[in-house]
Amino acid sequence: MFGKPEWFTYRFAGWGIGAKTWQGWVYIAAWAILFSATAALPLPGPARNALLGTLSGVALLDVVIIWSRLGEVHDERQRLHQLVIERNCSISAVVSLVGAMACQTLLPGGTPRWGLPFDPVLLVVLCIMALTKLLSTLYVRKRL
Amino acid sequence: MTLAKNQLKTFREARGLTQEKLAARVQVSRQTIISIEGARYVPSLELALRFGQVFGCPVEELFGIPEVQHVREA
Repeated sequence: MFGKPEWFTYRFAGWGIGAKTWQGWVYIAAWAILFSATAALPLPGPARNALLGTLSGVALLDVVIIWSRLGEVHDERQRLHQLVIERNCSISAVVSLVGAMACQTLLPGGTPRWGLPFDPVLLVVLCIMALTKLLSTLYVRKRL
Repeated sequence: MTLAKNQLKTFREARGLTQEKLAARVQVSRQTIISIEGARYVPSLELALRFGQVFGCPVEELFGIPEVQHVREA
């Protein structure tokens, strides 16, 4: 693990982790520089892609490890907040997915695709979850 | 549900501790101290015991539940 959980915190809106300290920002900047430098290397396409793929894997693994250990550097109230927020997101996801299933069953021809290469219901569900997370975060910070 | 009442602020001020210093002593964030003092958050048993350790007093002196109103049956 290159980064430390102490440098990061749960994001206010959206998923993932965000930098909390200057070390966290340096960590993000270091990865950005590393990716940019690799992309600019005078290498043949497949070699560069393999290098970028390996770097992406290492970066993703590091972020997942940091994320999984984030609870260790937050106190019990902050962990409770996160649980409440994630629970609300799960409920909103289930409710919106059930609603989407009902719509697709009842509407003739299912829901419209709006020219997207994927089912737009997925996008709607993600937006509802993101909104739920934002509202839940605001609520727990104000009330708990 | 009625949240447990606490004397945290009184004890903290009596010992001249800031919220930040107390938070550092019990290893929580300052926001958590604010929430506990404002009776918006009830600490875990472990955290309550840590407060007791910092103030050198039993936990019951710091935290208590409101007295239960006994309803007499007519």
